[in-house]
Amino acid sequence: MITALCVIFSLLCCLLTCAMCLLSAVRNSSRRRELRMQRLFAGRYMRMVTMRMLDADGVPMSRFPMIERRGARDMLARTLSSVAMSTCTGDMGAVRRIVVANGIESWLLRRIRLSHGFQRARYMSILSSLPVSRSTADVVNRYASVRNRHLCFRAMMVRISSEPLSALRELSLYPYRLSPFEMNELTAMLRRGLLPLAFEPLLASESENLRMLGMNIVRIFGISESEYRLLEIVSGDGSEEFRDDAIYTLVSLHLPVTGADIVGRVRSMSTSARRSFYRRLAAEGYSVSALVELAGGADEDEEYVESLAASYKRSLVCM
Amino acid sequence: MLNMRNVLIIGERGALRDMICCAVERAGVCAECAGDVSAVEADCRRGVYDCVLVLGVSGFIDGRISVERLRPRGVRRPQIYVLSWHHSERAVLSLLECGVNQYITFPIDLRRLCRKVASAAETAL
Repeated sequence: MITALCVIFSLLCCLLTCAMCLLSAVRNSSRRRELRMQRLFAGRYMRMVTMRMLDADGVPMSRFPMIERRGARDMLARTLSSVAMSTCTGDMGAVRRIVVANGIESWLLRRIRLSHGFQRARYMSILSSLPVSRSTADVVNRYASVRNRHLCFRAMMVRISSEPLSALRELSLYPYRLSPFEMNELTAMLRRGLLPLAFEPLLASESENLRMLGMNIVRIFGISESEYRLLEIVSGDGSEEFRDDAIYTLVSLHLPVTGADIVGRVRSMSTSARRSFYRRLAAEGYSVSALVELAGGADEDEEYVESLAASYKRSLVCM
Repeated sequence: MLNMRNVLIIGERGALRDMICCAVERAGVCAECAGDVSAVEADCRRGVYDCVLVLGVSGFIDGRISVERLRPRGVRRPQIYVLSWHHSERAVLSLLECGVNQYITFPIDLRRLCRKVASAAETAL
């Protein structure tokens, strides 16, 4: 009796193992086929998107071949996203027509609604990089107040993408302090010519996010004409962090940093913050005399800055 | 076809390289792609290519790519263009001082890129 039970149990285990191996083999084969098709789609769709962007000026777009196949719209959406992120606004008209002709917007909205977590954020990221309609922005508005910061940010980017003139309002209403990655995304959008922003009103804004973005614009584009505005910020009564950001921006622009207000602010920093600032100055190529003036007669600091300037061996930028 | 210009695109395999390759071919040149300089160094130095597009500056920074490997000294062909996301003034000046002919930052205008490459391929003598 026991022997029979053992035999039956062993047979069941063997059958189960065979079934699992078979299932795994089928899944692997299916996955390999899917990857092969995706590579095929990727190459063809990239070629077609690029050709249509270069050729079409107002020409109506037809649907892409095999667009109804599994994975095709996903691949097309990712292709359009990578192309849109790498090119300027002059080519966005063609991208918009491809999106409309192939139903990419509605597909992405459906995927966003049906997915969760990382997948949802991924689809939102793709949607935010494409030129979308106002109705799409209204649909993703529901994610503007969720706890997930990524979704919240992506929803804001979709709204800005659909209506660039609303960028100032959207950024001032964003509930979080912009992280460096989010700042990078906004700057990338700016470089593509999608955001009609100027640095002066941003620096003068009440919103911390807008001030940070203004500072970033000055740094990225090397706007030396903003020097007077940055010096006003340093001598003003804003937060320490904002004033430090202004000083670092002056350093990025290789402008003089030996003014009384700047020296006063540097001397009031903690030792570690001050030395970090000296290291930044040395890396940017400021001379020993500029560093010594900032060190203000403190022997320990003077020795530190001299060794620092010598170790970087940089050519002189300014006195 | 005999007079078709040859352009080499050096960069990691991916969507960006494919996009540049498709756009450049649209300009009426014959585009080839390579992931590594070693495979195409000999052809570059022999003057097979009229223009070389390098995607990214990491190859220059870690020493895998250098202007000398792509073009013999004293020769103006092939023209070397670098396309990158880097906007650092220091990186741009360093590359130009090393002999790179032009530095183009992303995001790019595809039509403008096609015109530049076609013009570079035509004038590389």
